[in-house]
Amino acid sequence: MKLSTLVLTILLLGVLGALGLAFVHHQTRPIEEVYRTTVTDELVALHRLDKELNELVLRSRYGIDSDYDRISQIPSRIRRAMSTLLGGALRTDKIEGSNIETDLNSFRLALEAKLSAVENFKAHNAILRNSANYAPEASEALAGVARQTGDARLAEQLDRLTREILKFSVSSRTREDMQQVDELLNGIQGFVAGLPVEHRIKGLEFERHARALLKERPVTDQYVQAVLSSEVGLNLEAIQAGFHNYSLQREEQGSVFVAACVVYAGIMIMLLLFLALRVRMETDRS
Amino acid sequence: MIRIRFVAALIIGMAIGTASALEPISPLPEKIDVDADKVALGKKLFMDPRLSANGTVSCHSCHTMEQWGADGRAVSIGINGQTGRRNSPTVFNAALNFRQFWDGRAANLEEQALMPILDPVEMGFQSLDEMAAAIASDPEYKESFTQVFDGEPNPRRIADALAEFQKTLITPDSAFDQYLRGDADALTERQKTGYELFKGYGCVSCHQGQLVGGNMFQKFGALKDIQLRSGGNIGDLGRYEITGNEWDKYVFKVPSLRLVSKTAPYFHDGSAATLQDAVDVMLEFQVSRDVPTEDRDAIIDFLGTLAGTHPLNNNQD
Repeated sequence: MKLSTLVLTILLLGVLGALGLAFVHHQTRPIEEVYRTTVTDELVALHRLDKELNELVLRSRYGIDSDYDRISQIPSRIRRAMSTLLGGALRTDKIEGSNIETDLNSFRLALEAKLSAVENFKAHNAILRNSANYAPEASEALAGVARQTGDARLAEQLDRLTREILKFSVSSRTREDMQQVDELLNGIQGFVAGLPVEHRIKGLEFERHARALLKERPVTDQYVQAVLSSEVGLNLEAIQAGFHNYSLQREEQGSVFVAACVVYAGIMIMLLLFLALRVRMETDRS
Repeated sequence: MIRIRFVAALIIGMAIGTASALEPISPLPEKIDVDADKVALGKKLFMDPRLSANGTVSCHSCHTMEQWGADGRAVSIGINGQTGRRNSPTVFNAALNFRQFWDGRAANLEEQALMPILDPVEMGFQSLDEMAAAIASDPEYKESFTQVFDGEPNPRRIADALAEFQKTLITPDSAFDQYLRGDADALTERQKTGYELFKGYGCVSCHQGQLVGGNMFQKFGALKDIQLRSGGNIGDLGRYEITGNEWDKYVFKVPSLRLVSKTAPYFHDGSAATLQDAVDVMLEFQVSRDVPTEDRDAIIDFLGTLAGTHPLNNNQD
């Protein structure tokens, strides 16, 4: 082989080898430390926000918090954390081929369902709170009206209704208990219809609030349950574990690149030595 | 003696502070931190009718500074004189809303800013790129965008600047906020009574927090079917048109009451011409309470104490 051809061949092999190494490096490079730290930090932040949301829902349900400002800020904070996460090491091109994509999709679905449950909780809880505050007071007032009209039996029924409503507000009740309250409410309808107009209006108001209480308590608690039993936390743990495994896998693959570099260097050294020998031989000949 | 007075003042101050901390309404912040250059650019864009396809409608057309961020109409007039479907909510304090629009379809001000631009009734552009090109054709805008964003005008940057400007439109320091901060003389006795009634009748179940609303959705007709109300657009199904969920029929964002005394008419369709009408509807359909006229009027008196300083007067920009 002519010397010039040999030089060109070695150059070509060198360039092709370098391109091949660049491709292997791209496919196998480990995840940068800064991205790993960002992902870990954002996942921890999301976990914390998820727990905070659970706590705030309970605080609102039991009247510890009297406004929804804090609970309303959580969704936007979650979305900001997700945006950082998905714009960084968990970008689609960086995790392609891993199981993390599946975990992320599960997380997104669970999160949207949870945030929807929170919004529904807020609306129903507001109605429940209002009716739970007013219904016992209205029932007691109607009992007073019944006593004034001399109907002791009805007054006793209304007292019982007041007690049942108060119990219903604060503790779990069976279907039978709810049925009983419903029957008591039906039982006083005739009385209310026969009242003078100013008392009748109050009677109808009371009935509306009592029925709202019966309806909204289980619905509100159903949304509380949906929030608390959401799988968002589990999904975050799965993402964390998946990312950790993926990072380890990428580190192992990184060793493939190192081996390829060593082989490439060895081959290039041998080719260059061979070239040097040929140049020497040509020089000696001339 | 001085020490006793100091301790007494400390205890009273803590009591007031603690008391206000337990209230369902909290004061508005004095201001939100903003980028002044971005605000100036955002303000210019907000006033610019070139954000509409035929160059006639600006954000300010429906959210005027003079009318406290609204326009005083039941529903607004958009491009080519077309009538909108919903009442324009005030942009004042909108930065603090948990979501934007009556149906909450925008998560924040940046998302909200671009939607009217594409609405065929409101500002009429076919695409955001067309709108951005209209802005970019102005050399002054190009220079401003380079200074603020180090780049050309594009939809995202335009939305960012508009949002930044709107963050300055806060109305702090209302009489009621002063009362919450401990100034017992900030309200009259009737206004204080009105506040207690506002809580007692259950209005505060939904109208709470620093915006006195603005942080939740609720069904219009929570306790009494709104279809029984005469007047009003029952064809507007609210959030149902976004989510498709049955419960979301007639569900809307609970509006802030901070400027309710300044921004008639009321509700998503502007169907309540006066505050008295609006309060009557709320008492009947939302909290289902028959309220004496003097109580209702005391509540209205209280609502007037929620309006704070106009943004043009609070040295924000």
